[in-house]
Amino acid sequence: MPLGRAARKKLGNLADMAHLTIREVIRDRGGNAGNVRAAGHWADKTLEEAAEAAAKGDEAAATAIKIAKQARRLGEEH
Amino acid sequence: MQNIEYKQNLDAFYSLSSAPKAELLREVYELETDGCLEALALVFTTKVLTFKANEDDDTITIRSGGAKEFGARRSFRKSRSPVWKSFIGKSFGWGWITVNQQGYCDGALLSFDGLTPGVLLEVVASSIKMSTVTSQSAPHEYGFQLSENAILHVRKAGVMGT
Repeated sequence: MPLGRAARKKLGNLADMAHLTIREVIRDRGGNAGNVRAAGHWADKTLEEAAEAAAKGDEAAATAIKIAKQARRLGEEH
Repeated sequence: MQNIEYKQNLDAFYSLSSAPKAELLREVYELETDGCLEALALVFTTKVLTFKANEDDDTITIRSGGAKEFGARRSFRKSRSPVWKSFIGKSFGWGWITVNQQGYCDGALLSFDGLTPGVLLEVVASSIKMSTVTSQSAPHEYGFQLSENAILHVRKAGVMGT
């Protein structure tokens, strides 16, 4: 099912990874176990599921999306 | 690269606080896109501060401009958020940016009529969240005394009033 507009807006350029779990996205972007832990139970949900929930006002889902977007720490070499 | 972005954001605040006359907050406008508060415009006496959520990394971009040039762009609508109610008519104080541990500039703090932050803006999942910042001070002690002529005296922390 295609991502709804509100959900797609929540994800920005992560929309292409919507089928992946937040855990996978965090790891893929160089995040660590701490980032995964901070995402809570949303870590094992897909970005799509989180985005749909965030679009309906779920703050924990929105937070998990932000963690995924910012998983790569700026200023560090990878 | 981040330092340049930080400075540009801070320069926007500086342009307001260093203006020769106080810039009073007249109105706040919001731009909502697909359910996200994508941008805010704070219109002051002669200047406007704009805050934009960057949807790819949940960072914030802050710029200043002339209030005349902003006009009230058709895509923006007046904010109904209670956050701004007590700050309308107040002069811009200082602005701060928030940079989180991951290195992303994801928010701002604003003060009005002084240098104590009163508003927090943060970007979460492509949307700007607005919060009021309140300080907690120790409760004052009040004492009540009814005098013989039936006048009620109220004492607050050593100050007597009627």
